[in-house]
Amino acid sequence: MATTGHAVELAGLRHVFAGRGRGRRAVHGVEAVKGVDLTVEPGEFVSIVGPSGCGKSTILKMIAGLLRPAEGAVRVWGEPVTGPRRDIGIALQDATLLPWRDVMSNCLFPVELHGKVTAEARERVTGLLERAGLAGFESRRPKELSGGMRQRVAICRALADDPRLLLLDEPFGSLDALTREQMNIDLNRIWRESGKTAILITHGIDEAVLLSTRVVILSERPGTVVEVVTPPFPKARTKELMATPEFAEVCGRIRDRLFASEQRVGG
Amino acid sequence: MNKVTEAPDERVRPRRDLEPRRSPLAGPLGAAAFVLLPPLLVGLAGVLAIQLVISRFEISGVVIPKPTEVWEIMSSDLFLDQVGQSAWETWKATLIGFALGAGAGVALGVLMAESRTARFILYPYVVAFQSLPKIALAPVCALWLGFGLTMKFSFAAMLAFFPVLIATLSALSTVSETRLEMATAFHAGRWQRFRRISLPSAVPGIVSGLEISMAFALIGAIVGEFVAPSAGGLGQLLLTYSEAINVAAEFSVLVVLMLLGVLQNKILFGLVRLGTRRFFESSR
Repeated sequence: MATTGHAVELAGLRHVFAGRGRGRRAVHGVEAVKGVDLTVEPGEFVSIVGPSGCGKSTILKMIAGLLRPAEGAVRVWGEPVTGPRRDIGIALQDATLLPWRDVMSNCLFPVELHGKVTAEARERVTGLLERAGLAGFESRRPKELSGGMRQRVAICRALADDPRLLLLDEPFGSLDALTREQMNIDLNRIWRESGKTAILITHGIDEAVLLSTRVVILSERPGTVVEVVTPPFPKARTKELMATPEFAEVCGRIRDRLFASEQRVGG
Repeated sequence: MNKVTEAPDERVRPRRDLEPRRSPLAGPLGAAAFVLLPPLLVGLAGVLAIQLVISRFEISGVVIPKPTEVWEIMSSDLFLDQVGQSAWETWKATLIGFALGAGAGVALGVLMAESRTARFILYPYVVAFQSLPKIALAPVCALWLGFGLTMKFSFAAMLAFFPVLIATLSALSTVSETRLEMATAFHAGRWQRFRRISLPSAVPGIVSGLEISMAFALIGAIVGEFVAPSAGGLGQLLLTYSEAINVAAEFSVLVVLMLLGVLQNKILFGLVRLGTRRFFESSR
């Protein structure tokens, strides 16, 4: 099999959620995404934005190997995706921490699944927790943490087994605006320092622009790529960046594009 | 005037009942006293009330014995001798029966939760078996197993089986989908999902099933002793006293039964706590 240099390749991706029942009570299938083409290069941070229900999470689940596309191909590091992979770290909308484990043990969960928990893995997790501002919380239980801290633990867990690709499905969706901004700055730093490839699903335009090297705009359902925007900023992002006119300009462009696609499909 | 605007304090008060209670008394003895004293005092007050009511209305000892009479019997050497031996016989049957019944219940619950085919095939039979009044099986059981320990623990096992089976099945079928999906996304196999997500998630449910089953096992052992004239144990002791119309002694046996129930419940929870700490909470 030829290994290409791409981290992720999506080609002609289509997915339909099956309907159920027959006759008058039948629930029809829903076409979630259609004709999605996208290539992500190693080291990139790509955000996928779009109106709710446009199939953003569906795309992420197909990359993660949790869903099989109805049509089209998903390749990660050049290999066709047939199921979940060990070199992918994922953080979902809910932190989904295991309440019977402490923070350290939650973070080590993927490491445990993939083999033995080595001293090296423990050290790596300790370092991750430190960078996420969670030093000293290793033996706390999830219920002793705030919502923001739980999400940060979930991101540390995603990175714990040193994955090459990080998938984030609205990991800060449930947080308040202030915490969210702080988390974004933290995430940007973690991403820069780890040198991973990351794909983020979000409906926050600011968040997407702040974090990404590229922003992919999806149309309403069935979702398809309408435009890819490249924010012209250096890798290191700060809160101050958000106050610049350039930042506002990029956000405005994406917002216009989103509304335009909504009107076209809806009208 | 407007009641709605009065902010209820309850909303901001932390749920103190959710936190573990701390003993204000120092040392392990103090902690033990803090745990034991409140229920003991309430129990004592209840006993005292019964004593007063019986004395006040001059209720005959054949109907309800005075707590002091019960206490007198319970503290006599003869009773302690008899009851110690019988309680052990009953408890032995209870524990063996509980181990077998609950073990089978958990195993079958796991099988039925994990395999749709197994559930589809076995469920009607399980329900059919549970619908049998177990006491109706007594003559057959006696015929097959005799009147000894085997028959007693078989009864205990039959009663212990169902609650833990249903508890295991329902706890394992309601494990959070997002938790399972999270594990799947991290490349967990079927066994890993079961061992590291489903089983620990289901522990509280299974434990409440075990709790019910353990109480049922004790009942089963007593039923076995009622049926078998030579089975011994607290059941037979109860029958003996009943024939002698020694109501106070009967009540003494009932008190011992209750104490046994509380004791085994405490032991169960102690073991569960040790077990969950050992198997689920750490990453190895």
